[in-house]
Order: sequence, then structure tokens, then C-alpha cells
Amino acid sequence: MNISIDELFKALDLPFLLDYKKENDSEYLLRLKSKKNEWNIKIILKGFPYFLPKSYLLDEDLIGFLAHVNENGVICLEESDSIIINYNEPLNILSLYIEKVLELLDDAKQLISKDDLLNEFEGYFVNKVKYINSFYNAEDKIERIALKIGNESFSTSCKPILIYDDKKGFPSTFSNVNQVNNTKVNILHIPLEIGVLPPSKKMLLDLHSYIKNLYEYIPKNHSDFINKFLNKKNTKRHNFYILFSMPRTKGERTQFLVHYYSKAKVKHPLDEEQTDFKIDLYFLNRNNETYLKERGGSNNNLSNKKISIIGCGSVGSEISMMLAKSGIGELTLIDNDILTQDNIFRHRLGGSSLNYLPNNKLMVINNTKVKLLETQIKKDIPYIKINPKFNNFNNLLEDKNLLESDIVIVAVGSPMENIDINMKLKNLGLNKVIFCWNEADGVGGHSVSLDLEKSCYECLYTNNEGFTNFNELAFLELGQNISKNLTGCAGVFTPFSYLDSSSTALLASKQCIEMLINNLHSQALSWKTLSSVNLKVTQRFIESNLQEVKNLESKSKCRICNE
Amino acid sequence: MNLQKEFEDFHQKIRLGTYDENQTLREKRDLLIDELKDKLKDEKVPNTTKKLTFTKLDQGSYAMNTGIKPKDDDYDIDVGVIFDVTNEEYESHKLKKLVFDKLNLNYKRTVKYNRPCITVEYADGYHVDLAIYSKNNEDIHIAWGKENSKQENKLWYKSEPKKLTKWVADVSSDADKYQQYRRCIRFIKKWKEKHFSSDGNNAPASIGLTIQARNYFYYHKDNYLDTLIYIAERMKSDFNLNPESRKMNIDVRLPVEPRKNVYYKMSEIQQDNFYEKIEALVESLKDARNEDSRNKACKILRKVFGDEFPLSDDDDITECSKSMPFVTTGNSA
Repeated sequence: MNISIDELFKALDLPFLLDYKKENDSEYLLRLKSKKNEWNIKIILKGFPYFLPKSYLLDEDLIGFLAHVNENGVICLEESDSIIINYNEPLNILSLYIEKVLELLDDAKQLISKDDLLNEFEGYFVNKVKYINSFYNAEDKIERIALKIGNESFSTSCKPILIYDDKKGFPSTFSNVNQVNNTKVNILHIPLEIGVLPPSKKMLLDLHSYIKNLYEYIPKNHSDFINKFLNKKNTKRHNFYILFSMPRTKGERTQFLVHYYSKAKVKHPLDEEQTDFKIDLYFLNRNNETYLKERGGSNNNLSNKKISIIGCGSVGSEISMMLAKSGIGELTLIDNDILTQDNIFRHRLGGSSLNYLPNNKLMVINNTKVKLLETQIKKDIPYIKINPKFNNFNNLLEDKNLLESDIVIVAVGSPMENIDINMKLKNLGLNKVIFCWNEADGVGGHSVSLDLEKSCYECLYTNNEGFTNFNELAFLELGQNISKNLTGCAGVFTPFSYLDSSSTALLASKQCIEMLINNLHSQALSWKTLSSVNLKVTQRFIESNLQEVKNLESKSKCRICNE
Repeated sequence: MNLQKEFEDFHQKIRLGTYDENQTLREKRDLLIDELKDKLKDEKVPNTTKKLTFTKLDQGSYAMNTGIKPKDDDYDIDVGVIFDVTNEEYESHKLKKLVFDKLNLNYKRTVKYNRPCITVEYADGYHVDLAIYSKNNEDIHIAWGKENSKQENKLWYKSEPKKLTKWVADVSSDADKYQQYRRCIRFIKKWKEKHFSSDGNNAPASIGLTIQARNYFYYHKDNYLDTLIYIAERMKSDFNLNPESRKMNIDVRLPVEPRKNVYYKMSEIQQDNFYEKIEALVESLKDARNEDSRNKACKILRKVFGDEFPLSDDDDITECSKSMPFVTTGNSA
């Protein structure tokens, strides 16, 4: 579409647009006037009308005092990522855009909008912003916390690296954190009493003065703690660090680390009035549990839940990862198999969990699926507890972790094992159970959520006369030769792909979460393939939708339910 | 514009006090009181054979009927436990510690020893505040002080909990006026919830807001907005400038014993912050009143009271959005 921006501006009919001036082909200066205020802005149109314009506030004195305007004066109007634009109406787009900018600025000028500015304090800074990682959860308590710093401790400017809570220990199982073996120093977390405005455009040039102003907002009753800390660390140094935080009305405190450094060795900045410090500000990549879970959409209420997974093959391993990512706090993984090359196209774990180095005493290879899953999950997800049990379920009937489970998920696949486990779980009083399995050849998969006090796995194999070989959910008729082997009988496997296992695991994981949050159970979920099937399928397969929900009932002839 | 209908709808959303809610809270409180009775059944007043007994007293927003639905389902209920002892018979902190110890035996809850009360927090998201009183022949005193406070700060303080509840209720004998007052308290509490961090003592105590609103309540028939503006402007004038620190200070006294400043916990910086927020409140309420467009007025009030404040009926988002030249979708990947 060929649009003349000039023509558009000429055609604008906006009562609040006092005048405008063209700077160049894509930049225009505008003067806007509302009931209460007058504003000078610059609008830049690039890729218009497929992209919204960008605008800057030219009234520099107000920068640092208005919400949604960052240190460069950029006016942050919409979350542009998720916007849909009717590009056939460029004039309307431009008119509405300018109207919205004016509305935003007027709104930001209201006293009541100060909260918004304080809440987005960290977003105000965009120039040369530096970030470091933090595993510390800042609350309104003054504390001594740990900071890893660059190893060159003699240096006059020693960069901060990672903050954590010494009382909770170093988060070494997560990602490659254990490789951060830098020097640790103790620093102060100082919670300011109220939110303080970010530095204005002018103050940005003298950050040290800005930081010194913050001392006024340190609660008076913290002075004992600070003095104690200073007396302990009364040595002169080149580098000092303080983590400041301040309350936001929306929870999670604003936080930033101030790095003070000086050529000469000097006393702590809170100890003595120093004028020759250089200052660097660091914002934090938050890694604390509450924040990460909220950010990732996982559910904090699930963090005190315990799930056992029996069978950690292609389906069970995927479930364990899905539940970990959903925020479940504790997983007990039960499986007595080891991971081999044959598994890597189907199992959640892949080649990075296999070992190709020669054995030696220093390196004990632990190649059990449960142990490897533990390592992988803990590397990916912090703050989760994993209990790996390299064992057969039958040996774990008195296992404390199993018995404490809120829900047990059975992903062993074998019908006879399922029948056995079903009975034993009921005897143990572990009534909240999910069974899940794939059908062969990618035909489909099923997951059933049960309260064993109401119905059970064996009910699926029970008709009006009693036990039958036929599972009422089945998509394939019985007795077809489905197993494959590539290297002789020992290599027999049932063919199904990673995508099939993931689809089944997804059903089981969703059921698990539903059962935990809404106590929803007694339901079978099935998925079936889109493609044509060469095997003989059941009537249910033909009649069912791509995803099917079936409510389950106890069968009067079920041996287990009527015992 | 007074937006009376929107305020009415808003009130329906925020009020605490549907039958079920009250029922559940009452049950939980009664369970705790019964438990305490049971655990104290063998206790005697020190150095006597007199049984240690108590009666319970409803107090706080529950008794005053000014509660709002809590954020994050953290329901609270205040209850007074009036022991039939004199100040001489039982030292305040010893009696308070006894109650604390008796209740602190259940691992499913957390018991805290706070200055004015014992707080029992339950995992499923509610807490009960128990204020411990001595009856003292109807000269009620409260057991004041934290567990580790200095001895001179742990004492029986004269207190008039019943009189306070009555003082609040006496705002007007007219049912309509009394109702308007209680609703305005709820609106002010929503404002507080939105604009103050829950950390520390950032937020002004609700009882303080209730007292200030009671002091300045002036009925405007069918017009909550004018009543709120009237109250807020006068709340603002309760502040005084400290010429030395250049900060605004506030001192609002309890209308009953112990007649201390209800905002005693707030530091000067927090009081100053409180002032700024009141100032902003007054400005926004007036802006809403002066606004010609109902939509815009509602949007301003949303900024004041939070997103539970309804948008005007004139604002049909879904239809209107389809014809907008650009609009946000919420899609992501």
C-alpha cells in the first residue's frame, strides 16, 4: 500500500492537535492540548500502517515523573506484540493513535498514576542497563545476603555476578550454576520504606547523588543492623555493593544492586560520606521461586503437592517434566529401567543424558532413567524435590514417599501390570490415581483419572458378566500382531513415536492438575490419530472425535470395586 | 456525574457478608474459641483455686459490618477474648503467652505473637486475630506488647472495644445514612488495598480509616461520590507539615481508651506517603465527578478502586473493538 504520510497529516481532523511540523519523511513534531495539559511529542512512522508509530515526549522536565514514559522519553502505548491493525484505515489508525497518546499522557499526569510509575521503576531504565542473576527473594526485611563477584578481587572495579540467599544455600543443581565458582562476598539487602521515583533526566547524569538521596528512606529501626554489619566489615576496599529494594503496590519488590567502586581503598559508603565513588546500577534477572512460577504461568498452590509416577518410559518421563513445569513441588519417580541409545527418539531424555566417556573411578555412571530424569529436571527447574526410586513398584509398597502422594500416575503401559497396581494401590488407600497408555502404531492414547473408592482401572475390563479381555476404551481390536523387533526377540518393542507419547502424557498431566485443583476425576480422555490406520480398529475408534471425554462409572461386576 | 449505579454494582462485588461467607468465618472462629476453652479448662488463676474462664466478643470489621472480600482469599476475623480476671490477678504477658502456647500446638497453622493480639494463620487462607482482655470488673484492659518486648512495654492497657464498635455504629440512627457510611468505608478499604504495598506498615490501619471516615461522614443522598470526596478532603486536612523534616504527619486518636494515635505504627516517611496518596485520591475523585463522559469517569474510578469497579454500560468493549482501527488481541506464542 502506498501511503503519503503528508496527506494523512493534512487530513487529520483532531480538535486536540494544536499544530504539527514535519521533521523528515517519517518524523513529525506535534503539539497536543487537552482540558488540563499541553504536550509536545515526536511521532516516528516506520512501516506504517502495518506497524504502529512510535512516539517520544519532548517535554524533558517531566521525564522520570510520568508512568509509561522511559528515560529516553519513549511513550509506551500498547503491548505491540499482540496487536491487530486494520491496515486499510491509515487515517483512522493515526487519529486513534494520537488520541491514545494524549490520553496516556493526561492519565500519567494524574497524581494517582504515581503508583504505576513506581511499579514499573525497573522498566524506566533502558540505556546501558546491566543485569545479573538473583536467586534471592527480597521482602521487607533487612538481611545479609551473598553475592558472587568477579574473581579479580584486587581490581578497582570488580563486577557482580550472582546474588543468592546464603541461608538457603547455593542453588548448584540448577542449570550450570555450579560452575560459578567465583569469590563470595556478604552484602546488605536494604529494603526502603516506600517506593521512590526513578532519577529524572537531569539526575541520571549524577547517579551517586540520586543513590545518596535514597538513604533517607532506609527505615530508622534498621540502623542497628547496618551498624553491626559495618563494624564487622570495617576494612577499606575498592568495591562495595548494596541491594536496595522498595515496595510495589502489585507485590514483588523493585530491586537494584548498586556497585560502588573507587580507585583508592575507602570505607563502606554507608559508613562515611564518600564523594569519589563511581556507581553502576544493576537490575536483576529474578530466579526466585515465587517469581519464576508466576512468570511461567505455573501454579504456586501446586508447590506443596506430591505426585508419584510409576513407570518412567516415554510417557512417564514426559509427564514428570510436564508436572515439574506446572509447578508441582515434589515428584517420586518409580522405574527399574536404564536409559540406552534405543530410547532417545521416544523418551523425554535424549543424548545429553547418555555417557560416552570411558569408565573410571572418578566417574560413576548412573544411567537409570529415574536418576537421569532427576538430574535433568533439577537442571531445568529450580526448587523441586525429586525422589528417584530405581526399583520395582512391588518392592515399594511401604515406601514413605509413595504413601504420601497426593496422586499416583501409572504409566507402565502393560495391562496386566496396571491391573496388579490398581489392586495394590486400592489396598494401600492411595485412591487418587491416573492410568495412561498409548495404543500401538500411533492410533491413539488414553488417560483415565480415578478415585478408587468410586471406580477403578479394572472396571474398564468389566462388562455385565464380569471380567473380559476387552478394554472398553480400546481403539484397536485384540490379537493383532503389532510388536516389532529390529535385533531379535530381546529387542521387541511396541511402535509408537515421541509425539504419540507426548499426546498421552499431556492428557495425563492435565488430568493430574485438574484433580489437584478442582478435584475432577472419574473421566477418561482419549486422543486418536488423523491418518488412516492399517490395523483393525474398534467401533469406538470409528465413532469417536479426535479428542474424546468419557465419564466413568463403577461396574457392578468389577472384582476390585466389590471386594 | 455521580455514578451511583456503578458504585452500587461495585459494592455488591466487594462486600464481605454473604450468608455463606459469614457462616464459614463464624464456624472457623467458633472452632478456635471452643478449642481454646477446652485447652484452658484445667487452668486456674495463679495462686488461687479460681477457674480461668473467658467470654468472647465480636470486634473489628466483622462486628462493624464494614468488611471487604480479601485479596488472595486471606480472610480475617477479629475476636476479643475477655478473661474474667483482674490486672493484678494475671500479668498481661503471662496470660497472653498462655493463650499463645495453648494454640501453638497444631502444625497445620502458624501462631504469631503480635503487639495487640495473637494471630492464628491457617494454610487454607484465613486468619483469626485474638485480642486478649482482662475483664477487671467491666474495666476492660488489653494485653499489650510483643513476646520479646521490654518488660515496661508489656502491660495491661485500658481498652474499650465494645464502646468503639458502638461509637462506629452510632454514626447515624438513620438506616440509609448508616448504610452509606459502611459502604464508603468499604470503598476506602478497596482504595487502600490498591494503592499501598502490604509490606510492613506501608498501609494505614483500617480502623484509622474507619475512624477518620466516621469523624467526617456527611450524608449525601444517593451520592457516594460526593460523600467520598467530602471525607477524603477532610482526611487530607488531618495532616500537618513537620517544618523540620518537610514531611506530612498525622495523629488521629482512638475515640475510646487507650485514645492513642491509630497510625502509631507508621514511620514519618510512610505518613508522608499516606498524605500523597490521599491527595491523589481527592484529585481523582473530583476528576471523575467533573468528567462529562461516563466511560471516562468509570475509568478514572477504576484507577482509584481497582478493576472490580465496573465500566459503564455505555462501554460495550466487544462490539466496539471489532471496528477499531487497531486493538490488542492477547495472542502470543
